[in-house]
Amino acid sequence: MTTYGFDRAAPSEIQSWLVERLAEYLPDLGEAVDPHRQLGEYGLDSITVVAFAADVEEQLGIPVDPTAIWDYPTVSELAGYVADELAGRRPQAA
Amino acid sequence: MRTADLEARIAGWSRPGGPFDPAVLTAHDEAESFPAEACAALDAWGLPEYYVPVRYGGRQDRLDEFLALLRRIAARDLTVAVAHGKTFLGGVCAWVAQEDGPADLLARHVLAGQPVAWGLTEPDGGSDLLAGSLTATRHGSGWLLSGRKWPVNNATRGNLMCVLARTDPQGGPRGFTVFLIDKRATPAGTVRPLPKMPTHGIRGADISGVELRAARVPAHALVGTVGGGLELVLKSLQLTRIVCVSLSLGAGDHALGLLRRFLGERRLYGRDLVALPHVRVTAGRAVARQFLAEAVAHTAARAAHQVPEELSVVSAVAKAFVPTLIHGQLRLVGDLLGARGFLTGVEGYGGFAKLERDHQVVPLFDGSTWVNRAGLAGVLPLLRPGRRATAPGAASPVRWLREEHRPAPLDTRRLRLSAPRDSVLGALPTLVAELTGNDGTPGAADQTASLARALLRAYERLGADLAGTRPTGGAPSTAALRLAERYEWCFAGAAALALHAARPRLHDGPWGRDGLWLRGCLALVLEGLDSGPSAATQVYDRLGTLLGSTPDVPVSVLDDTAPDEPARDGSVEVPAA
Repeated sequence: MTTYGFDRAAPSEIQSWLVERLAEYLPDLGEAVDPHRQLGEYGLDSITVVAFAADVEEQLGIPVDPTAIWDYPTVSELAGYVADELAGRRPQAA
Repeated sequence: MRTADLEARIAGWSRPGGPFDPAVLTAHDEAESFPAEACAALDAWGLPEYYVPVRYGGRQDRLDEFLALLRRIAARDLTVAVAHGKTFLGGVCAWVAQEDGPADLLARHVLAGQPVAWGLTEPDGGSDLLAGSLTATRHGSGWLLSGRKWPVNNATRGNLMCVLARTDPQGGPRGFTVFLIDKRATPAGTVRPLPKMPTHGIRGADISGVELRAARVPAHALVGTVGGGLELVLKSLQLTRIVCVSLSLGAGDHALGLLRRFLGERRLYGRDLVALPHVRVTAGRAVARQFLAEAVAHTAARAAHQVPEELSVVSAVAKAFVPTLIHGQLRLVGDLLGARGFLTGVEGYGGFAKLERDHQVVPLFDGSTWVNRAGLAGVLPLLRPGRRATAPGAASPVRWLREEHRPAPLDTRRLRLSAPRDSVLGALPTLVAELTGNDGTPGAADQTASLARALLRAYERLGADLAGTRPTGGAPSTAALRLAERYEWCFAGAAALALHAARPRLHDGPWGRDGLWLRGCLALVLEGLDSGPSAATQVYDRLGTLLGSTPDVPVSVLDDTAPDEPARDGSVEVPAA
């Protein structure tokens, strides 16, 4: 059973969800995460990137290697990638 | 395997005046000079061939053998093992990148005896690879490199060095690229060595650095893809972290050898030292630590071939766990040696103080204990029991830990930055359920089974504690690090159980009869999980007694000096990823 609570067919909802997730890793940011800004500009270190990928994987139930986040380096691009991945698979049973 | 041959050669070289003569190596240590004679002897023997995979003309085709070779050197002198073995680290990026790099070129250099360095860290950069500021900019068909790498092992001696360079001024995970620099081919004055650093241990090693000032390198210096450097380095580290633990195994061998000699010579209160219960129990703990370290190291080395997609977890566990375990073992041995472990001029024992100093660098190599444990802590929620289906039977560690199993060729394309599962720890419930009651006498078998069930309960408690956690970034909390540490202990227990199940030979002999070595490992693991069993003292007492009474029996559960044999189980195929 997956744990996400949004319409997986709607990239905009995936994007909002990713923005919220990412904000949890940036407690000192003091502003909303810009979905079109490069994640690297937020100062995520290499361990955090791996953990964030693991988090997305954990929450969505689809494999997300950290390199996917590297190759889709804004929340907007990542949302597109995730939407494609979700659309291409049935919800996985845990 | 040529492990036995190397061991015999080193024994010969250790005689007075030889390249491994302890007096010669001690003199190098005191003068902070490079152990050139010992490294030359290893070159002549052909060790560089083991730094190069078979597909590029070398002899490296299984990591367990490579670990065994480095361990033999480390058991004589850790500084030499670090000084020579560093070339494996220098070359590994090229092997992992395969055809996307100068692997053939590098292989020729390594086979010709050229040392290779690996430049990752920079002044003020710490362990954060994304902080690197050495830059590479395009220049004609090649590149110009500027910046510093420091501290780097072999930086001055090595004509060749793989460096991680920033190719996108903005940095980021796709902003770095690996280059292979041949100093001899760079314009004069553009490459300058940085001075050797005085160090607390491995004092003779070439720990220095390099400064590049618009150093021009050709297009074929590119290793992997532009922007692929961080991924390449992180995947390469999964292999080097496993190789590093062989240094700890060798340090443990060296220390136990000194302790065994001491137990045979020293008399106290008119009795042999082993007549004292405290001495036996402490010595037994030291022995159990060696066996557990072996189980984890050997499992990790085999895992590299069989389940490479899981190595991000396996290598982090091995690198955080084994050096820490052996560090504790050295303290136990030091306590027993007393003044002989501290004085440097006592014949035969002076090496302990050097060994203890030398080993302190191992937890720092290739990501410190903290870096590895913190990385593991960040992804533990993904590894909690029951989250993923366990690996298929073909991937069971019992299958690929069998003695006669020939590891599949290492397929670096299967390496991943996050593991889909952990086949070793995932096998724990099955391993405990399948422990047979006919290992030795009924009483001993019951005790082994009882310890194994206690481990399973501790693992289930870990799973329950992980159920409420989510992956985290940044510096993990102390509580999260403790969860990671518990994970490491559980993994180690599973590795020992898997090795026991895979190798009937280990059910016999001085260490294996009645499952003694396994019970020593399980007792240690349970203590590490705050569930110390009442039987522990008795088990350590027996192990300590055996250490003192069987001077000719190697303190090892790995028979890695046995001649290589063809696979008999047909298990050379690569299981599906």
